[in-house]
Amino acid sequence: MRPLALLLQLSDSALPTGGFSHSFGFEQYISRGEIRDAATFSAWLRVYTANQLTHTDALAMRLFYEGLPEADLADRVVASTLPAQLRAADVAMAKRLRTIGADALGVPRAETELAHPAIEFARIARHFDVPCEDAIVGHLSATVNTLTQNAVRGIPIGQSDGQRVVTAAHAWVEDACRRVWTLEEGDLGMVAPGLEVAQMQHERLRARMFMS
Amino acid sequence: MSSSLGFRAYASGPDPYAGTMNLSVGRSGDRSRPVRTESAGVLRLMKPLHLDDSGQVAYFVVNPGGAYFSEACRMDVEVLPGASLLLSSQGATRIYRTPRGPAVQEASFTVGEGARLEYVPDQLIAYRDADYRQVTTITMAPDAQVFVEEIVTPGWDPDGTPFTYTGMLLRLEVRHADGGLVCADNVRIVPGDIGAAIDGIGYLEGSSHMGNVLILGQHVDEAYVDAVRELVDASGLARAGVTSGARHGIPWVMVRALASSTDALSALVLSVNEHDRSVTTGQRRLNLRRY
Repeated sequence: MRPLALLLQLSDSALPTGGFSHSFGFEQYISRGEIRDAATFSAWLRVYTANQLTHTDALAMRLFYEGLPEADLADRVVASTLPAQLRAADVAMAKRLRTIGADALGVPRAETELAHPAIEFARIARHFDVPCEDAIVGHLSATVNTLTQNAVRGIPIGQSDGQRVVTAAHAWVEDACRRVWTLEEGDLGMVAPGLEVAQMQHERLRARMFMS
Repeated sequence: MSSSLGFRAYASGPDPYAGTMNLSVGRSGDRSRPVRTESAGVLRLMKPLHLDDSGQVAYFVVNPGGAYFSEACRMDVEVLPGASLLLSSQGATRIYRTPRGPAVQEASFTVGEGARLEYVPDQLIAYRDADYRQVTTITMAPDAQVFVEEIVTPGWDPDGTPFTYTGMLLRLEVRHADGGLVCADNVRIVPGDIGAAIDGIGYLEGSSHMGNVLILGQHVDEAYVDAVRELVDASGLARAGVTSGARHGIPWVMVRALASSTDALSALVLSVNEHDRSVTTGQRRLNLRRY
């Protein structure tokens, strides 16, 4: 299989990973009235991409590719994901991706602890010899697309506005891809405090569309 | 079991520390007492106190200049089985401009079987052009109790211009005595990277202070977490979250809050501490200002 074809399959928003039911905290900002249109969503998505998607997703993928012991990687990712809804979302999505990899793509099923969809994405991509950076771009782009689709439904914003956000996000994903090589192992899981407070508060949000 | 993925120490070189402190407390009869107290350089330990009749020993760390420039300090603290330690600081820790590289604080706590640690330092203020790294490691027995808090003000400027450049990394990891990683909190406040404002969305969101409380121990059950949520609701802070978990058999709960004053955050910290004491030692509410 060509790496591009695999990445297109894994990045399809129809891939059943369950990503459509998670906002990773932005729904809390909607309930506060602080995310209300494409511009305010875009500001959140940029900070999210520069923090959690860079320091957890992209760095975990790089370390996986570099052969870091998987049990250690999973242990560190789960332990450093403090908001309970995020841990649950990560494990649930990782489980779906691991199943897709094993059942549909023939990737040997791993026995390690389920920790994060980025690690499972990297496992599949590496199996098909996708270069590390392409895998990171694939997973981050897929996540940005899913989050934006969720914003289109959740805020709501128009589909064209959503596509403009996705277009702007290409540069942020590139930033993540560049910065990931400057990070060290101890940087795994670094968070920005405001993002995380909202993710914690979401546990108590009464009327909600999303599970995180 | 021990992960290869640890936080690395930032200080290096033959004599990397401007200040060191080495404290060990043990239990003797009904009281906790010092077993070893050493400090050198800019860090100094005040005399031990017993603030109430619980037997807990209390220490205050003094940082005479009250300031770190591009300096590194290290604290090694051990609470032996059955002992109880309250560790605080005398006054705020102030980080001024750090032209020769980041100011660093490394702290390592070992909390033994049936022991209890309360680490409640005064707030940390990072001034203009400060770059600060903090690495805290806690290793605890599964039946130990740990209460740690911190209040930080990143980006404060004496000219009254808030939120100039600041780089702040605050790392905390907690391990089970057998090496298993229980939880890790890794906060990075470097918004300049993406041209964002420190008080913008995702970072401090209009606030100037961040407060964190982490409590670990077998007493942290569902009712405990609910009680913490009620205290956070009662605080009236609009940006305060609570979450909880358990790993390697050690339950924990965390509060993270953003606010515009130290007082608002300390009031919440002290209320949560009061609740913690009510279900553990029965000690009365902490009042650090009296000592």
